[in-house]
Amino acid sequence: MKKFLEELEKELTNKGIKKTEIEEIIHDHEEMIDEAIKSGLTEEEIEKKFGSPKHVADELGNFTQNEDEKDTDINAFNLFKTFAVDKEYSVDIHLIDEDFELSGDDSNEIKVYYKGRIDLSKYQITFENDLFTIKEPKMGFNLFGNRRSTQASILIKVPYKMIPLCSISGINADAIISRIKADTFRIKTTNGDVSLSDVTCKLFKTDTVNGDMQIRRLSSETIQFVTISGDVTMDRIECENNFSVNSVSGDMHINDMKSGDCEFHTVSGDVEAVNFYPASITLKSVSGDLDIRNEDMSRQIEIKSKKSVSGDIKIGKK
Amino acid sequence: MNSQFKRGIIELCVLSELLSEDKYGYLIISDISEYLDVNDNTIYPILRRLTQDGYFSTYLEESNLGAPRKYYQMTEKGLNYYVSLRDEWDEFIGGVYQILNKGGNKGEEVLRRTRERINK
Repeated sequence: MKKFLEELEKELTNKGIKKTEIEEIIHDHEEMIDEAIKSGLTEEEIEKKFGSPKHVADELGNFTQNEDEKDTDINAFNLFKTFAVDKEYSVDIHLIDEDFELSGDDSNEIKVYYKGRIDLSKYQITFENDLFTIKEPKMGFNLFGNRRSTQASILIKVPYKMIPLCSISGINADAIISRIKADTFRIKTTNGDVSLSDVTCKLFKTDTVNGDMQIRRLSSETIQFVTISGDVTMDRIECENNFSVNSVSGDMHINDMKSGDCEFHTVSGDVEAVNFYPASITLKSVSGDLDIRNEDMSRQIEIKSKKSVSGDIKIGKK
Repeated sequence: MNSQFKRGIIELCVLSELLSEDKYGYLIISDISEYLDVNDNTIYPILRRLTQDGYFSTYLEESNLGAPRKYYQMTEKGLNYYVSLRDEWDEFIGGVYQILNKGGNKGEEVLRRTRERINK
């Protein structure tokens, strides 16, 4: 029944269900399967009782909130500052510890909200020369103070229209980003997890160390990923031109993606993809595998080059 | 059977299973599948949703063998929900049987007479 659990986890991940929820669901099933075995059921009876992992995931997906589908309740936040946007604007976010959300809406204003015990007056928050900046102050050494307020978070609303640059950098801050259109979209984090959805851009660039990333409905001409050990989940992605991934041990799950030439450079990170249709593939890895399962096998994927010690490229039918 | 309809019925069954005692996940599945042709695929998602909506609470209890079990317990909110669902169900199923009984039992005689009438 180990296969059941593995498949269940995969299906739930594909559904974009939150990691903590997946862990709980898997744990519940481990317990139940354990009970079934102890009660003396045969393998066949157990299989019947637990049915198909895909069905469980479908049913759960019907009502479980996806991370990005969850609308933030703006009423829980207090408005801190509003900036009127005349024509253009760019975004530059530098946060260290504070979790934040950035999303586009149909107004002509940039609005900064907060909740919890956070003092935004200590932050640098400006809108000058068409550039919106928010910077978290560096804290001095504080032996007794509770440096990180537990509940605080920041919500930034920006006009949903094409902008030249959206640049985000965080250290430990978790980020939720949705509805952004930018020529260049850059995101850099160390430990923070990122959940991103409905982003349109020309160049999409990420640089992460440990943070995990969940990306849904991204459309970009070029996509560049650099990660050390963070895992990446990608769902419904369109990439016209180049798609490149540079990872040390981070794994990547891809669901439903079209791209131009694609390059994977990994040490031990594996790539698992379902319905992934790149024009061509270049793989350079030590032990990282690339496993693609597609429904439409008539769409040819050219393998340009494969340099790997023990990693392999497998393309099969879903 | 229409799956939405089936889900509603199983939901009522899951609630009913927890009326008289707290049960762990596998026991709920086992007890229901003894009478109905359903499995984890249908029951677990319902159990989880009802828990998330606050109709059940959970707690862990050591079992004599193996890992601790997660027990599900009905809450006040769950009980109220059960009562309203049960009322709805009784009224519905009562109506359905009145309609079916007007047609007569599914006996040989009834089927024969119907066949005769439609093949005329």
